[in-house]
Amino acid sequence: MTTPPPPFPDLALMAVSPQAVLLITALVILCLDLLGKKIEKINITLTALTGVVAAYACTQGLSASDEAVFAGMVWRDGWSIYLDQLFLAGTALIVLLSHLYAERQQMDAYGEFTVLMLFATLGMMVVSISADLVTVFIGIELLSICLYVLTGFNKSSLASGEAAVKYFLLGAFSTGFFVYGLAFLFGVCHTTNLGAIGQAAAMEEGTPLLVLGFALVLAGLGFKISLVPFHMWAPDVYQGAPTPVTAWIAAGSKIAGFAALARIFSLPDLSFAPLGELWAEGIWLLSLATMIVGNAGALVQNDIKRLLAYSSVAHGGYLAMAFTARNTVGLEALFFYLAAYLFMTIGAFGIVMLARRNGEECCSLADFSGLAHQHPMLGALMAVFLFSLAGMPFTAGFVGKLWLFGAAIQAEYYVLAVTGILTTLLSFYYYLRVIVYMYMREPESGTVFDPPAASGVIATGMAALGIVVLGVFPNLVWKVLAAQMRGI
Amino acid sequence: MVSLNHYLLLSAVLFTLGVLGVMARKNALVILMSVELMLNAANLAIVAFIRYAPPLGGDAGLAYLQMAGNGMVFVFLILTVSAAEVGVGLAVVINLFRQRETVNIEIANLLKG
Repeated sequence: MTTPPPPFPDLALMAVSPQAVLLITALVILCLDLLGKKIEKINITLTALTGVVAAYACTQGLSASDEAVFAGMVWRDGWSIYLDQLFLAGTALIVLLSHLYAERQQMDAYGEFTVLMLFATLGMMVVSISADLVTVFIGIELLSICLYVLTGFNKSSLASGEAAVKYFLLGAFSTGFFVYGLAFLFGVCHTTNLGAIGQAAAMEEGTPLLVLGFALVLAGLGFKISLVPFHMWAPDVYQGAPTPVTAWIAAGSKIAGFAALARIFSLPDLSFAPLGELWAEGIWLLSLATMIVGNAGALVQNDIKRLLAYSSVAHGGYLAMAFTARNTVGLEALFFYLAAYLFMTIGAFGIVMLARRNGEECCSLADFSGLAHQHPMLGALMAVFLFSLAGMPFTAGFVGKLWLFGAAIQAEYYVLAVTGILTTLLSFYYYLRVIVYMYMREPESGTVFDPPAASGVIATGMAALGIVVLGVFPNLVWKVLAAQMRGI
Repeated sequence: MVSLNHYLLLSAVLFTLGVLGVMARKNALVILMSVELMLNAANLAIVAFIRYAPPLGGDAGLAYLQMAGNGMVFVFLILTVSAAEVGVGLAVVINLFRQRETVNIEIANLLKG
């Protein structure tokens, strides 16, 4: 891990094959977009899906190893394989939803839209394999810059333009903190290699410069995963961005942020040693504040996208709880919940896209009145996603929360676990409110919901299937995950 | 004699100016410039850390070269990435200006609640 890199680094191309396939797919679509002015949207979608499936097939052929390749820049360990698969599964759903969105909006530049989505995914997958501060930084920036552009993609929409400016300015601001923190880590440890930093930091434990560096990194990444008090941008950006982009910001970029946090802070040997108690205290406070503010904020929302934004903030708090355990059990709970979170977030935003009345996307909760009467299928799917977000038994959200709270209790953070349970109970109120509107209210007279499009139904259906499978047979994923995590 | 601490102090001042600029100013372009100041503070710190690194253990010369190369490549990557970020950022701000004829972020407050 810490041996100096060889004079000419060995290029273990197989280790990065999923990333390579995704990159090539994105470039092919870019060329297709240049060649024919009138290329059909369905062809772009199919090309993207083929690439994603091929990349997923590549992850199946990978074997986890502890060795860093590419001169110590890339780590193909168990959890990077798991995260890559998660990102690719999410991308497949997002591509399907983007297709639906582009058809509905008659988007001209659908090729560019898809390319940017794939590049954002590539950034996430770079984070998942990174074994070096430089790689983490490049990955985070690649995904952020693509998402800034995508947020402002609706050039004619005032909301989209404003959301892009807010997202960009706060994102760049957070990058400033992140990079300044990395500079201090480099200054204290004299290396950018994560493994070497872990060892050096364990020796320098408690150095003010080191603590400052880690704190700045935590603040920078806190913006990306919208931990309170760095969450202010989230509701505005989620509301203004095109809905498939919102889904990918909520799911993908948050998972990548947690992956980066786990990578940087869990060193060495997944024990979170360099910061010790200080780390636990810090993340304890952030997690507590995030759960309370996120859930309280969601209570008063009447816009569905803002409601889901606050719910996503709250979930960031639950996820951060896993770090207090400071061991492999906590990380396993985190990674399991990330899978659940991916499916329920993308699914819920997918239904927001599908449920359109009189040609307009439903914005307020009242717009959902009577959806379940006209389209029982959409109502049922949305109910699955909302129940899972709330944490009903037999859904992935329940199992995941159980493990997260279990990790906190095991680490003797009882206050945190109790707050988690209480805020979860609170969250039932606002999730059930949506369901009440869908099932028990009559729509205004003359309201006609558009017939749901096939691609959207397939995507949300698969997400719902994932939630139910994870909820009823969690061992399927758990066994794979545990084997990969402990195999490190 | 200029020491490492002098450089770190300068970089901290630059960083603080950047943070204050982002917090206090309402013009999106000025905020963008302040963010650049923050990134340059980080670059300055890294370069200063390289210049003043104490002799490392073992084969000191080679270890120093590796450390210095590592850090300088990092600085160049931060420079290029921030250039890309500004490119996108200016486009986003121009789009805002086209829509509202202003780059004041206080006037752009459609999304709230």
